[in-house]
Amino acid sequence: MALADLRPRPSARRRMNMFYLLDTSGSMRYNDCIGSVNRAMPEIVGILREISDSNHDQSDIYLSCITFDNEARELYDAPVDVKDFRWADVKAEGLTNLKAAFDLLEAQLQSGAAMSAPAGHLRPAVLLLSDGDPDDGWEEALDRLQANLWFRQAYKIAIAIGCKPSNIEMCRALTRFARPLDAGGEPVIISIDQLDRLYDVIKLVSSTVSRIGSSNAAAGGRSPAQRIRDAIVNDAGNIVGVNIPSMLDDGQGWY
Amino acid sequence: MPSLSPGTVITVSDGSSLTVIAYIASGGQGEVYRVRRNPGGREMALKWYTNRAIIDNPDFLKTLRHNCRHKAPSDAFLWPEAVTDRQYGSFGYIMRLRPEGFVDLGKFFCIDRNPQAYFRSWLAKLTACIQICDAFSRLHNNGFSYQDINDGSFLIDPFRGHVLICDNDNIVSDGCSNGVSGKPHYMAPEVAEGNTPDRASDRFSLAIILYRILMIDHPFEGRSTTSDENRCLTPDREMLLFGREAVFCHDTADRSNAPVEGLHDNSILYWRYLTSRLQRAFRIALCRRAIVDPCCRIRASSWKQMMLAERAALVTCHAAPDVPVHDYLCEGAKPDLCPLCGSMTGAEVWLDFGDAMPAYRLTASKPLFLGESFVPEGICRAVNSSGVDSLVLENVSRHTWHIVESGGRRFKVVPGAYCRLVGGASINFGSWRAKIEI
Ligand SMILES: [Zn+2]
Repeated sequence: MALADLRPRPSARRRMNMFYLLDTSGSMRYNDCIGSVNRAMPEIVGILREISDSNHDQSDIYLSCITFDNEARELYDAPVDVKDFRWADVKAEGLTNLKAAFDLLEAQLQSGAAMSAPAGHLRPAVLLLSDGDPDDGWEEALDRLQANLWFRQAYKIAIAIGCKPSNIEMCRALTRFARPLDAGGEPVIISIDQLDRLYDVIKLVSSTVSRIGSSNAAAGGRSPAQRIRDAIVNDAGNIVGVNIPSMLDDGQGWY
Repeated sequence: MPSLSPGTVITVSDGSSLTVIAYIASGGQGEVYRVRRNPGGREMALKWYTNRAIIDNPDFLKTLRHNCRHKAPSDAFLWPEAVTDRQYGSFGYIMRLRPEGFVDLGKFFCIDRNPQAYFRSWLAKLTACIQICDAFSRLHNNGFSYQDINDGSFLIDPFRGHVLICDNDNIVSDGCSNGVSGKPHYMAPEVAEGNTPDRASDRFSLAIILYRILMIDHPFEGRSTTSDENRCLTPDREMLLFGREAVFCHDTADRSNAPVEGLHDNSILYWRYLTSRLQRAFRIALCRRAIVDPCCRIRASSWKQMMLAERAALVTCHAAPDVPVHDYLCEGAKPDLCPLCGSMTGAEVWLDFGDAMPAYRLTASKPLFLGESFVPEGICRAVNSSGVDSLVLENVSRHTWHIVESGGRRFKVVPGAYCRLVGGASINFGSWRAKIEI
């Protein structure tokens, strides 16, 4: 008779989905913003892998990327384990069809593949990166998205690149997007004036959100949502050319 | 980016200094470096804080200095040995370097990522439990509480079960606070609600750690924590389900959170291998009453006595020569067939120590540990002389044993020699005496 194998199974881990909505419109070529994204993303994947591994039994980080210009495209049709995620470089051309990106995100948030990990989930995170005024239709799409329970629970972070006072529609879209809804806490919106900071900021934001969100780590009486904002305000706010506007209402507070 | 570069010299408050050799790792509070102490040249580890809340907290540094003046409660603690001066915008402390062969406890919970991180025997698991209980009972007796016991606090040797306790900078005199609260899944409900951690909250976390060493899965993970209702485990839900409203997955009064096949297989499988007295102890330690009432929690010293009793009664099986030696927990009489390999179980002999320590079962290949020692005094071996199997005990200690057989014959067993285990004989090990019972 063989000896019973008493090696354990891995303890069941929850999943934290991270969604990136990345603007790939033609203007992202300016100052090589698209190049910053293409250089930062593979590194972010590496950072997320390390964080996911060091979480032990807390959670696995899964990643999904949606890019949008004339239309929206998904790199994978559902979030994949960061250990299997491969970034493919993106080009910048076309318009800013944010509506299509919101629709694709909503589809992923409703799908069984994305949101049915056997051991359950932690709050997802959604990072939106954009450099211009979105085309019409985004508002209705965002209304639908905001009715989705996963989106309501998600940590939402908006990163505005080169936002000028004339970008009223962009301010409105990002402000509305970043409303915490059920996640609580204050909205997190980051405005980058010095475009060469983009690379550092998205890396910093990615590691902060994933580290705090994937372990539900509360500290000093601060909720994870508050800690994400604390950390980003602290660290990103110290980078020259980067502002964290304090948001009160739609579009107010940017300038 | 590590904040200190190799070659940086750091001054220590006792007047000595350190030279940074290499960066090792970083965590939520700070970074760890390999450093050389000057003078002397001894290599040590430097914990260097990067967390602003700690750097700016004058009480934290004060507590650290206070702990440094105390000696470590036991060898298991990687205790702060000296604190540095404030410099380069921060401060830190030095401790022993973490030796080879020790693995973070958290890695034992994800064997898929860490294929070597699993306990090789029940003896290794018991050893880890005994060493942890011993460390915390000494710490608590010295008037300290650890505050933040979690899976990141322990380094364990998966072969022998030896334990090192890290992050001892959080330790404070019981009743004090340094602002550290704890980690979800390990934190007592009253701490999650804002109370200051103390010895009683340490005991809550300790019961979870002991369960996880023996069972790997989390004691509060089950049907209800993975139900559709908790599909998205928000921080608020988590605080309740692993705190104030937690239900032990083996709670007999409330089966709502029973382990689920496919998700909590370790909790299901290993539970069957526990003795009923250990099952009972966990049901007391993790019942609803103990969760909500800090007074009802089991002390580290009581756990230690239970684990020592399990070690004494453990059965080692060396039935088939081609199968590696294995062991299992066993209370009272030994089963006819080994639950792990299915062979007929071999002979056993008991050493009766009276009130000095629990009676100790000897089976082929089982080491004999006296009292609370982790160094074997003897090793039991099966021999076959003229067709008869019997057990002998080899003296692997450094001193001579004195044996008196029931007929009055006396002889000595020098180190390296062995003696037959004859019923009625008594063995004098030096500080311990036992009677052999067959
Ligand atoms: Zn066996």
